[in-house]
Amino acid sequence: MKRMPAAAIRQRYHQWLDRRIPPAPRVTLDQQRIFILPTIGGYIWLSVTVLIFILAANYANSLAFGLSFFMVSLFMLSILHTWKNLAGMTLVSKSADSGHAGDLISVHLQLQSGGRGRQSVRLGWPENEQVTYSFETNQDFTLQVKAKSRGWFRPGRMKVESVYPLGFCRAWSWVQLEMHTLIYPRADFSHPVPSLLGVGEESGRQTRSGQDDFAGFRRYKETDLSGHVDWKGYARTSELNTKLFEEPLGHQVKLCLQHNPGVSLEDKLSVLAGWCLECEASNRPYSLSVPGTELAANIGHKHSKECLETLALFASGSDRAPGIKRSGGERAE
Amino acid sequence: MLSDAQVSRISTLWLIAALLSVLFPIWKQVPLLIILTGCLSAGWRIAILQGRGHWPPFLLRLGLILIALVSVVVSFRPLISLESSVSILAAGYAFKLLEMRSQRDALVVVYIGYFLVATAVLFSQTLLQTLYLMFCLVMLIAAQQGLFREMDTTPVVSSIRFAGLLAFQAAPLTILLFILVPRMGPLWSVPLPDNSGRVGLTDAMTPGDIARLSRSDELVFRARFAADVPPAQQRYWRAVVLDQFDGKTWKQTDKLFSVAAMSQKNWVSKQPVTEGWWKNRLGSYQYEVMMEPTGKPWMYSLGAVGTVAEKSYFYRTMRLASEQPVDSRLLYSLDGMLPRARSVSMPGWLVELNTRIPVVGNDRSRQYALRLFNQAGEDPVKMAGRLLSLFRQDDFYYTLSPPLYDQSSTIDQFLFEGRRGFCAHYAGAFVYLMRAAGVPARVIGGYQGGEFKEDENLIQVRQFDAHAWAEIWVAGQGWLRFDPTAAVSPQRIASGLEAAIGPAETFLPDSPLSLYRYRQSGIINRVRLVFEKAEYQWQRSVVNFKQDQQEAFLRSLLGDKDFYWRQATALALGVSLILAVLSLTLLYRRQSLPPLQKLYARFLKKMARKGFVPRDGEAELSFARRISKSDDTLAEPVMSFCEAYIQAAYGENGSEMHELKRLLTRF
Repeated sequence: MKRMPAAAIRQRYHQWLDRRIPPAPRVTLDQQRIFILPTIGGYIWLSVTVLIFILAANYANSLAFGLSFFMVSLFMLSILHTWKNLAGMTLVSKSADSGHAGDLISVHLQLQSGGRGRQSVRLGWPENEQVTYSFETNQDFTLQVKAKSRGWFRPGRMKVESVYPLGFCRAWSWVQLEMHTLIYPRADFSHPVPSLLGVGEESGRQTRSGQDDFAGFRRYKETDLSGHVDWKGYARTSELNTKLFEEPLGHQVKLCLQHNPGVSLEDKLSVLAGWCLECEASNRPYSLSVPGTELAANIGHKHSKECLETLALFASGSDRAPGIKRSGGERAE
Repeated sequence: MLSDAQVSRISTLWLIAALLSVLFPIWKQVPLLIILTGCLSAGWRIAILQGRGHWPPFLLRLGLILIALVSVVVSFRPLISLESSVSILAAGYAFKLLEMRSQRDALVVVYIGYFLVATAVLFSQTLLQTLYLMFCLVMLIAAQQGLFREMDTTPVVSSIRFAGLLAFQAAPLTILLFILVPRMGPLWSVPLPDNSGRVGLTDAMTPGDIARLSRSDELVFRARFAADVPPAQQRYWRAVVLDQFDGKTWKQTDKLFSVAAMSQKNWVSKQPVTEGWWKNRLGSYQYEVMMEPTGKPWMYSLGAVGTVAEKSYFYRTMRLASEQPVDSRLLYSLDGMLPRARSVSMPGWLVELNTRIPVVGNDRSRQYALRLFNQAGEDPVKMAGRLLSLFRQDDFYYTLSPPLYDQSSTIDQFLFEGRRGFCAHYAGAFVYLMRAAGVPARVIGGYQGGEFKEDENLIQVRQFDAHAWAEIWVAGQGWLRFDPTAAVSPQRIASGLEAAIGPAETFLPDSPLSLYRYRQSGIINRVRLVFEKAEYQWQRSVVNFKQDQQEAFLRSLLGDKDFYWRQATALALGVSLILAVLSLTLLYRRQSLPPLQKLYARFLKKMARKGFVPRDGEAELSFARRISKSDDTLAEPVMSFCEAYIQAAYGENGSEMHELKRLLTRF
């Protein structure tokens, strides 16, 4: 019989945790989900109680006995109160902003008090930001979590804990909230876009004729090139607008996974993501081709989102949101 | 979360308040310097809070600790005592404030606070002290919960209320544990609280040295009578027997009697005296004495006793004494006995001892005694009567502020010059004169009188009831009690000290706030009586609930058979019952659904049992339709219930609850 390595134990633990507290968009903390154990402070408290008990025995002092019994009772009572502080509380995942792997993602959550005042509830992902809240009614809050990898956003289990009121016991729960948010590959801007390199067929067409293809204005965005800003109009109306140009089809850039400087797949995807963003910023239509998916050349927010999502999900094992994928018996909430 | 997190301002203030309130009850036991440094560090900490002070440098903290240690070393002899340990604990408690930055430090401060509360009850367990310490506990809980609250604006009232609520909820379990958890005996011997500083009765009496008898209303003991209570004139509580006189001081020496003929065993007895020197007949008084700690071995009795309490002796001088000094409150029961007069005998050596007086000094008194003895026809009782009538003459006065008689012949001075004194002067002079005439006599020290509380059949004796009287030996009659003070001041015996001293002297000059002083005021007196009654019950039933009392009580409650099993079962059952009730009341979430919703919830529950759960956002009707489609037997009742429900919930007509309930019973 082989000794179980730590990793296997951890895996077992996570499997058990998954069975006990399955991922869900909203989690209400109850008997099944709350764990509670004494803290170091609680153990010290119990030893002080034992000391006082011995003191009482040695002095045959009834009131000192009474005090030690009171302290034990307080300890037992605090188990109930600490547990009560979490029990019935509901965590709802509202949304999370999409972002790139490695970015800090803002996760929007709602805490529902369940009609009971909650004191000093600490929540968050242990390796990320943790916040402490006291609330009487429902409370919305936002946590910054670092996204580790592309694909569906899985920040892991969030810890909800409380030692209130006396710090003798810690009640906690590991909650996995489902989040329908995609994390795009990390954007790598270190490689020039193919057309500028001469890899694409439209090599050398660095400049555009411009004026002829002028298509209209739109409100200035920070990512816009300063050369496209309608400075004349700005002087006139003090409204900062960007000139839009109808790019001729021939200027489009073809982005392709196969012709890509990266070494590993993740690197290649990063480079592609960077190129998409760069093309978007420099307002050049681009098409994307990865095995299994071809996206026709286009430009705009919707297109870039589509491209990034394709990259995010490419060969990631799951191409659907985790909530839909969930198998097994439906759970009555 | 026991962490390095900063302690918030509000919880620091709580901690300081808790510190000061916990230090208050032990300030008498702790050197003044430590109390002062404690207040200093509290003040310093407040200054830091206000941004006006800096954290004390290491050297200063070291200096403070050294000051505290030195003051402990200087103040306590012997060094290792309960008081010195408490002082060090108190000093540590106070100084920890000055380096308390993190939550962990603050928690240490709180825990030491609880420990100090435990030491405070070692010094005093009165009801008042207990109530005060309960308040301290609530302060400590409030401080502790403040540490774990994240808000900085915690209102004082809600913190105190929450702490009080916690204490209140912990009370039932505490009481149960107090009653049922078996008490352990001492694991090792410990230094007991130092009682040597207490005022009270001593076994040496030097009347000439006292210019002003201090009067205190401190409680000495309470005696509860089973039936009859002795009248005021017969309440003579013996404690010490002073049988040696060196010209100035009367002393108790009977412990040292070791005449060859008398073995120690015979002189002191652990058994009720039924034979030997005298025979007893049953007295009419059966009583139970609860005495306050004195630090001295003697115990109080009305004279001969039929039973000897545990760990105590009965001396042939008819006094009770404990094996060890009484350092904690003591409760003992006595059966009153009266010696049969004719059975009392006295060996020659004891006669010699009880007639011994110094060979020099007090010549006038000696001659006077012999003259008186002759006049009385050598009858000791007649002579005693003449002496009493002498004292009854006008120029003898009873006073608590007598002149000093510090020359070599104090008896002469008192009898022929000063003629002013209190009980010790009169008893001393009386016994001296009797001895000078060759009559065995001795001074008895103890208490006389006491306040009778009718509703509890209880006599309460205070320090100002201290008294001294005389006994003379008469062959064939045994020891006879004479109280010369009664001759001088009959009120002292009949109505107590307050009546005896009259308006010229203040009754309790040292304790202006004593409730006892204001006995004339009706309301105050009633409050005092109620409080004293509560205090007595508290001491008797709670403080005195020790190993033996607990076992006796529980045996009477649970029965003798398999006692320890029953005790353990009662404990386990009681604890689980209380915890169950607590969890139910604390954790039960009241679902205040309207009745209609309740019915629907019951419907959902029934359906869930059959395997149907409404999907997210599925309305009542579509849910019912889905059930009907998949299960034909359920179709009709489910649809009719659902329609009735929708009609009741959303329709215009009033709801038909009965109809719905009936429909609900169909599946």
